[in-house]
Amino acid sequence: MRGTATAVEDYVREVAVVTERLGISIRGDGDVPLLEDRTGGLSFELVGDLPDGRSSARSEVIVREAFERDGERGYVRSRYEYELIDHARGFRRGYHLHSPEWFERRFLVVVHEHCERPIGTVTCAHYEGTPIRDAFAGVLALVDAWTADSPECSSLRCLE
Amino acid sequence: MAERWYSIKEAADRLGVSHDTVSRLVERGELPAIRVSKRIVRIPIPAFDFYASGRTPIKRRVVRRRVEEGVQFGVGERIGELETV
Repeated sequence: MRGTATAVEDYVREVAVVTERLGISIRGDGDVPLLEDRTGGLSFELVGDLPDGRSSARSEVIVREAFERDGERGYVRSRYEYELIDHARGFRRGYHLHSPEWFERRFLVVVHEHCERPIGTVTCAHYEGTPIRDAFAGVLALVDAWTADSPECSSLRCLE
Repeated sequence: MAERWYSIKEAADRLGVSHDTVSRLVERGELPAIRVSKRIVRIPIPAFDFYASGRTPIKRRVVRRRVEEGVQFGVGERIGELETV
């Protein structure tokens, strides 16, 4: 995602629409805060819930993205975190891009993933990941993990 | 474990329409779905329920707010080590 501040606002609004159409109930009062920090960077966070049929447990879906300045009037997405906390299955899945210099120096990668089952059992701190092009793909990846018949982590490659 | 997705056939049966109609809804993006392979499509039940209810997403405003620090990333993720970057 790259564009003007207005384009980022439109993008965030559309991400919320697509998230809701996937059946994810977005928490909050209806507005989506787009934070502008002291460096001029923009960031947002959407937190939502997926119902779980007969189970009372709900699954949390979290989308975080940050955009840094790109030229005079532009922004480019520089960080992301897409997180699924699936309470009914005791499963966590995360797709991350943050601290890229550290990950590049340590593992020669920019993105990484998380996978825990049960939640809190960290067999591997960071798994090799695939870059996710935008929040639309990020939310779909989370719903893909949520609908998987038997979520597991063993097929992932550990970076540690 | 509750089932979490419908096949195209199951969605068609529940909507009372044909398999082809649901396939077209999926192709057009009107009914969100996960394409697992060329032949297998998973329609998440929450997405199906939202579509079937006829609801439309809330029109949300995106509100710019000036803050010192934006959204935090990597929280709880071996922060001490990451902070040395």
